Amino acid sequence: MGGRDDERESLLTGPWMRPHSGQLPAGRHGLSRDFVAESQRTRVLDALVACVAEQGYPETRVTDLIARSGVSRKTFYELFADKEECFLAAYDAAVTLLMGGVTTAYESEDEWIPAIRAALAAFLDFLAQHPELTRLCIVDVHAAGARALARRDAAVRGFYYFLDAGRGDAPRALPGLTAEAVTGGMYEVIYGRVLRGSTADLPRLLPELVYWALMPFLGHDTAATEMERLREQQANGRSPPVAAAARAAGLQEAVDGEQLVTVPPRRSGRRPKPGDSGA
Amino acid sequence: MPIAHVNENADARGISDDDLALWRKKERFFRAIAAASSEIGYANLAVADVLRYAGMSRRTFYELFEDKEDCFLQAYDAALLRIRMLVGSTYHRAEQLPLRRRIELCLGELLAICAAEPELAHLCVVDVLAAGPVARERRDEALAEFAAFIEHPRSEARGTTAPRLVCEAIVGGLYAILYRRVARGQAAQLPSLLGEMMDAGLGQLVDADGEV
Repeated sequence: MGGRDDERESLLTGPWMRPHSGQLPAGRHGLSRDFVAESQRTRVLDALVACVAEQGYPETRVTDLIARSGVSRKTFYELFADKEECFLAAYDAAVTLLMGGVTTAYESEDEWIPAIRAALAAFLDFLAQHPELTRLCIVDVHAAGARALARRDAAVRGFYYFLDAGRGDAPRALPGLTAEAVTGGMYEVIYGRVLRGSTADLPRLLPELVYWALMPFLGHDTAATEMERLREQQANGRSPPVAAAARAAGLQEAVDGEQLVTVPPRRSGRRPKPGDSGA
Repeated sequence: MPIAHVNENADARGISDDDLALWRKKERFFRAIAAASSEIGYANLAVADVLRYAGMSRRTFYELFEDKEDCFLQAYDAALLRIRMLVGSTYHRAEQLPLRRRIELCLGELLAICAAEPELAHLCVVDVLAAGPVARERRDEALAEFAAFIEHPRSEARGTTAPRLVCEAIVGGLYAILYRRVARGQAAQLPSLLGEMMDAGLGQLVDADGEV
């Protein structure tokens, strides 16, 4: 990790959401109370992400967070009840950001296969571009207690929605736990790479992970065809859902002329099927 | 561990009485730590709890184990060894059956063990994540081993058309399914999920003829 605190962007709010940068000047600055609190909160959350990345959650102390963020102890405890609350807030912010990018990518396509491909590409790109957040969400969350684990389970279930939409395209009835199996498998594959420090290489797994996402739903042949197509594209140096991936990663400038995209609310129902059967 | 001395009562399998007695004691501690940690959680567990569940003395415990973690890890390894042998022998016994059926028997065997010994399943699937970095590594190794186990049928059924990575993913998916049920005390239901678990990817992978 090369960037240092003073020069790097806030990990959790990203350049597009952040109202200002850096520490506010001390004393009377005429800014509203909420505005100041928000800035302090962001700084503490960023400090938590950095500390956990360096020392792990168990070794991170409130004192470290205070030192790193530059807020007072009193302010810290006004914002968070304790270290765990702070961790949970950072986790929630990261998941919101991630799910926002993934949902946007998914919604950008009408058919299920391209939608899954776009969502997965956005997902992997996000992880690769935020290695510290990724480690916090995938690895450290296991060391942060029962409430963190419950959040993790809920976050994982958030992905069922994208997958279960594929039931409509499946040639036969699928077991209820298909999405659970697919997300569980994704998690394990990603967890292994993150643990070994190869988070940056995750986007290269797109063809194989698309195979895994599609195969239980549409069968081996359809999934293998899609995988081969993606492998070919990768070999040619193209990754198809550039716009979606860039959006997810917050790289607005990569998307020419496009307006800032806000995250649409998740639809609760099943995704309408394009045509009768995509398979 | 004392070097087993040769005696006339040595078991036909080559295990001396001393070793057998030692193993029985360990076995008792393994069951105790599994029961205790699925009851009160590994993190909250003290050696005193293990002693209470085992009905054994502290002295015996420390003759056999260095500490709580050592006991846990040995229990985990012993359980995994048993699972590996049972599942592996099922696979080899069913050599003449179609691939999908063979795999189904193996998964069924695994689920049956979990259902029959829920505390051991809890130790191997749930507590292992809370028992420190070494335990976590053992779990990761075990998953990699199961993935390698699926690699053979995968290549037999699909050759190069299915990525090797899918074995890792399938094992991870099955693990997630086990974890959720075992953590909620629903290990007994697992055998009834065999068909669903097969149809959630693993079956499609190994059944090259069954595709619609």
